Amino acid sequence: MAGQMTSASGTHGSRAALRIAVIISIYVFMFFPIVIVIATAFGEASLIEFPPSGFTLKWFSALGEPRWYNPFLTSLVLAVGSTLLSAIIGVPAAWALSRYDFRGREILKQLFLAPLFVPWIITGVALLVAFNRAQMTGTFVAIFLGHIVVTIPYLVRSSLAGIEGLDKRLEDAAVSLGATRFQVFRCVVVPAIRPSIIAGAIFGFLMSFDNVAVSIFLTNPTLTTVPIEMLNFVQWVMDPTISAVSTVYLLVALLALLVADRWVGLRQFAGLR
Amino acid sequence: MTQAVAGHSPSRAGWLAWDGGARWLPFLLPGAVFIVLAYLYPLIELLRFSFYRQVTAGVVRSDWTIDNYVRFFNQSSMWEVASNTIVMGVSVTILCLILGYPLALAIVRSRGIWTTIFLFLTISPLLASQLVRALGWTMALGQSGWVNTLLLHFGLVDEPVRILGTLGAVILGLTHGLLPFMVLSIASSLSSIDPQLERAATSLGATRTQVLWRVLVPLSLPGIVSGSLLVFCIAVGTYGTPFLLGGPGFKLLSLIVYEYFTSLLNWPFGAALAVILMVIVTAMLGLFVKFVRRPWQVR
Repeated sequence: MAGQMTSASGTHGSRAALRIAVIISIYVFMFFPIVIVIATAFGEASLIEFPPSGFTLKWFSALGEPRWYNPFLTSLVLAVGSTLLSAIIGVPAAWALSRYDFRGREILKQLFLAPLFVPWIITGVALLVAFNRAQMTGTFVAIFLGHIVVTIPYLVRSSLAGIEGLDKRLEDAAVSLGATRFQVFRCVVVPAIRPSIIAGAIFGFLMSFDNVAVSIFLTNPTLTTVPIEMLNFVQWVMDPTISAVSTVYLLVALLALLVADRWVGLRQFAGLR
Repeated sequence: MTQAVAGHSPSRAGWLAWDGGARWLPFLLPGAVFIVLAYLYPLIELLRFSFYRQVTAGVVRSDWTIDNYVRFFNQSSMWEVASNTIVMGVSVTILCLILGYPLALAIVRSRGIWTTIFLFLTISPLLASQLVRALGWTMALGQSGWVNTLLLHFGLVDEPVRILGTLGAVILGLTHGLLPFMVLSIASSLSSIDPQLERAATSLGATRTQVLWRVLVPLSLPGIVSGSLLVFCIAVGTYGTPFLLGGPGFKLLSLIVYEYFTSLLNWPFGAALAVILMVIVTAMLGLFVKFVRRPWQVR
């Protein structure tokens, strides 16, 4: 009896151990290249080596050069600006799409979400062709509009999900009490779906910040984003500068995740119930 | 209950009845105009461009021709690029599923602080830009990289193996890059399954494997499908990661689309390639949804 007990708990224990081992190894796999990049940013040798020898912060000084801080500024302005604009035009559209029934509603809804399922490189060349026709290539406006295309599906998707979980009678009550359509939107809908909006906005921010496939067709040598500059850089030089830039870049994104956790909680952000 | 429903439906009808479309227009219009002008119109323009004729580099004539498509189908190297793209996309999707499912399960089953820790660990690599992660792999997989050093040290190989610049390296990098999308998609689907179902199955004598295949997998199918679609679409449409890990001479549709639009300056052919990529994606999505639905047919 006692022997049976121990053997039973023994197989249970080893199964649990196996499960933990599997999960740990998947996480090691996920973090492995990131750890390498961060570690090599502090190495003294002028070639990237892992494990790094010595400790120095000199590679981070590259961030003080216009070559890097200009793209950083551009990337931040693009990500923040396109996310804000996507929210301003995307959230009301999502509300109208889920509350107002009209012909072509489903098609329009799918059109808003389509950039998620159309390969990004196609969106990139399509924008290039269109902006070329409009003679707008190389302008900031073109890149900015391109990044709104990148961010708007995330805002619309999360707003649609938020509104779906909203009791419509709240809005009806507000209308029957004399609220205008705009007041219902501003005072009832937006506060109620705020977590969804923020979750979508943070995803949008990250996708814009990280974008290569659209930016690469719309940027030019004088107006470029961090990912594009990184791609240009590593074609010629492979020294720890790129690791230092990557490390700072990572910190910005990590900051966004911490904001997400503070404002809405990770469960909500990840779409878990 | 009847009261609530009765009270609900007339008010809904009434609300929509007493103000028609005009009041919705200010909410809908800015977004709709934007998405049509800045997204739908460019896609149509791209489609049109794929039927234009290339005169010389950078010069096109706007007459209708199917030459660009004929050229694709006549060139065996293009077929190879297309099949490479499909093999890459499918492998990445399958690998993400295999690695992502256990992780999603662990997230959903964890309690309290562990959920936050697991979620943080899962989402944070997603934040570390695809380029940063691809760079990490180039550092690890190069001829004198860490992986080769280890292999040599343990005598598993006699000379450094070429990992970087192969399809395998691209698949590895993209699997790594897209794993969080798959995990989040499956986890969100798993989290809506009533834990009582699992307990009921176990109490009726189902083994753990049976619970997994008969209860969890069928019920999390929506998450599996949407995660796989997302991963496949991103994988075949990515430029940065395959560019860095595939190295010079490596060819995928996304990489040669870029080449034809920039260095080779043959936009009509590049546009045709983009349209073909779109067709491949649509076909794969259709196939996938059909294939996945069949074995379970959950209603």
